[in-house]
Amino acid sequence: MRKNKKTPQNRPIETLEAKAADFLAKSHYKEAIEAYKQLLKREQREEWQTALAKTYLLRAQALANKGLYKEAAVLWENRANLCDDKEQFDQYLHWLIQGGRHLRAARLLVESAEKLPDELVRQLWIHFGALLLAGNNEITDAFPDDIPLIKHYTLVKAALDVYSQQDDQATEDYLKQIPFRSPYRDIRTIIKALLIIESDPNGAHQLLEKVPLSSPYTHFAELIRLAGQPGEVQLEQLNQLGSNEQSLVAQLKGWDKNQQKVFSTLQTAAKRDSRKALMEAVIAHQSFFGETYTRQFCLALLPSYLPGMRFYEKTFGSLSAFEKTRITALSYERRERSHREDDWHLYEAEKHWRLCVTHIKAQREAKDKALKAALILRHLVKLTEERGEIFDNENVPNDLIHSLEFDPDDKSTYLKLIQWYKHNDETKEFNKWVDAAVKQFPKESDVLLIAMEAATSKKAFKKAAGLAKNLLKVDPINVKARQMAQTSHISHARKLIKSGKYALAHKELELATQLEKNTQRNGVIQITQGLLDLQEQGFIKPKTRRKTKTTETRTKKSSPDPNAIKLIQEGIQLTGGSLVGQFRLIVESESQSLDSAKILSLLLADKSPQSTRQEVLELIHLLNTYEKEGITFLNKALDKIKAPLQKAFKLDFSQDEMVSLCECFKKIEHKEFLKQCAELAIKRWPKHPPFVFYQIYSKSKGNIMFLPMQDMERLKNAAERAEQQGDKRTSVMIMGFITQMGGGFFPAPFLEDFDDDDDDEFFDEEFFDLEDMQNELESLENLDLDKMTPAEVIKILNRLEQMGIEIPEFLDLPIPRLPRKKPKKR
Amino acid sequence: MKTPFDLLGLPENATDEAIKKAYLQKVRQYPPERAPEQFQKIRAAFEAIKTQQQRLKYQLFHHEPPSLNALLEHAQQSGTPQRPKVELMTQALAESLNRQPK
Repeated sequence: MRKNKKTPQNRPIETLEAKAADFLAKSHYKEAIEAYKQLLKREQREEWQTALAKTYLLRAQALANKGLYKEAAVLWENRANLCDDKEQFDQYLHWLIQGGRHLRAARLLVESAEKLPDELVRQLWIHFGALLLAGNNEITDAFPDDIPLIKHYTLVKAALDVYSQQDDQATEDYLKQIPFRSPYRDIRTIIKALLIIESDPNGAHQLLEKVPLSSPYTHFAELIRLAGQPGEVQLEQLNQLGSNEQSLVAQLKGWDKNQQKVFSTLQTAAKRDSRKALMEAVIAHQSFFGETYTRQFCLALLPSYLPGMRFYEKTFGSLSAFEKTRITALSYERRERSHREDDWHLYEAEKHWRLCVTHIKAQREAKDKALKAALILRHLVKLTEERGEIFDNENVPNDLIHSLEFDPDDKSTYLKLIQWYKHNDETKEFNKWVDAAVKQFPKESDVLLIAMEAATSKKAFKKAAGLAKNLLKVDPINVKARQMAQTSHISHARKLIKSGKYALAHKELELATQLEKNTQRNGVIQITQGLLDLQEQGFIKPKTRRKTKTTETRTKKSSPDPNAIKLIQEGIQLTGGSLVGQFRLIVESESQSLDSAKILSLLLADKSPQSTRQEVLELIHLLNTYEKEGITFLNKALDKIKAPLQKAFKLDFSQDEMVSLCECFKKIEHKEFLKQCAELAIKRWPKHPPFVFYQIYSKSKGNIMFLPMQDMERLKNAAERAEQQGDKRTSVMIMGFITQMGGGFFPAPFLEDFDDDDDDEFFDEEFFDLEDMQNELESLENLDLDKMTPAEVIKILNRLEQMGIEIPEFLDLPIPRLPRKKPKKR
Repeated sequence: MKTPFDLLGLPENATDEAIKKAYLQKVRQYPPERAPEQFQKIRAAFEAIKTQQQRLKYQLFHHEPPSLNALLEHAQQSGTPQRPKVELMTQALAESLNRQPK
């Protein structure tokens, strides 16, 4: 039995109506039109007619949006059969024009021009003008001869004719005859631009900008602009043009047929989008590009298209072994850059670069042979640097040194080498290369500055001063050099004073004074000078120095020389007041092993100076400076101004200032002051992460082993809080403390397990001397692991393991590991 | 991508002097205040090849493949502009009219 198939014809009217409305709502216009047609076949209801008309229009609009103008026009006409309102007639005319039904559009325009808005009519005239110029002459039949569209057409045509015959004057004459309101206004502007496109491209560009976007000439104007723009036309731009448009650009640009043929080949290669196609296209037009250019182009293509090497060699002859290896190395490097996680490409690149160096060495008289080898070795270092592994790679210094053998005149290589050894704490090599750099570049300020720092850190102040002098010759306004030179002279003077060479010390201080600017006097020279005078007069003596032959003392005076006292007082004053000044004097005295208390009493200095907030902050600054200079007795010196300083801690410091205080005391390891400051700060800012840390740190004496669980929790919370507040520094500092393996080892557990019955011989021969071991453990207890490198900590842990002591998994703390180093050679 | 030599309009065996001359000429053509982008490119090109060592570095380690556009630019270098015939303009106009309106 046949199924009763549901067709629109046999559906109930209500269902069909609902379906039609649904189609319309969902923008399924085609189906909606069909449904409304069916409904109208059954019954001629006005509402359905209206709905069908509306749907026709909507579908027409949708098709026009897709560029289907012909179809859009037909649908509009279908609608017109249903109703006479001519809705969107203007659109219909445009669709007719766009759909190629020019003659009908023209006739309709002539018929209904009076009923249409003026602006629309003007636009349509412009369109018809463009159509006429584009060769659609049939439309002239639709228009009367006396309208501007026809009258001005001959003028434009004539202008174009004379333009192509290079008669600029005649062209301008014709253009002048075309009125401003003519339908050919836009093409007149374009022809004007064409006239000046060679002589005044910018002027032409400005004219072309005047063609409105709504004009039918927009694309044509763009075409002329493309031809007139300075520089080259991009392939993508050419690809978008039709063949006649391309020809027009080519002619305006002056490209000959051969060039156009090449462009066409390149366009085809671009569509294939492969290096192979590109290489083939270029080689196919070798005569056009020239042999040298083609060869260079293909050679540059090879690192990204390694299989092309054979084709290249077939065309241009064999490549040298060096070139082949170089291209292969570059090819691996390219791949490495796009697959960073894969070490293999880098390994291959490195291998091939090293092979390149071997090839270069084997070459006899190659041009720039040595420089090439040096550059390759430096390039290898650069690759390591780019991966952030420069200091982990043992090959780096070797490659840099090797490169200097080929090209010793590269300053940056010396600097890199120095930096590498400094970072890896290889002092001997560091100093060696600093000296070598100074020898090679004695007038380079950056080299001299590094050498000065190196000499200072070695306490070779005389050398540092000499280097500073050289640097100031090269760069007289270098502030850092001046400061370092001054510091070096003062430090050297101290050394001389210590060894009793007062006359020489005077000279050094004189040199330091010459470098001191009046605006930057800090009192050090004056204090040192005063102390020197007092020692020279025999009024004060170093606590430890034995009298040597070189000690130059005069007969001891009964009272100190007032000039010396005046100098010291001036120095204290310049240092910045009583507290800071006194501290500076104490440090300077202690550095010369002098009794600072005695000197202070000579000055009749206030024993408990009242300090201001500013003075304390200046003192902190001074402490930081001294710490950087490597002065080791700061704690001892600070204790001499303990009373006024402790009083000053209670002053109204801001949160940041209090952090600076804690930070400084932690740095110089003055645990008592740190504790006091931290306790004071935590009372005012109980949740501030740095203070939580400093308080716990000082309480535990910097040793995590003494930390109760409660404090550990507080620390972890503080670290989290710091992280949330964006205070990375504090969070890192806390985590660094938490994850350290602190000092203070545990009671030796093996002693409890010790069995008296064990064989003594076993202990004597197989085990170890218990007493020695206990001594060793005691010495370990006194170690400050804070100051140790991970390698040293691991060494101790290993020793403890050897001794049979198990390291407990203390609070899940990670045991520090040695930084991983790359193998020397891959 | 254009090579520094292309940008400065020089052969690959150009000398220090020729490079400097070409650079200054280009800077006059594209001064930084009027054509900052172009100037930057020219400056970078000059920096990349100004000394023999730089050129050697470029020749040894440069690995960016030349593009089709570089080739096209090279091919476009010569030529004297010509006035197109009316027929060609008519045809080109017809093609441009047939393109999708903006």
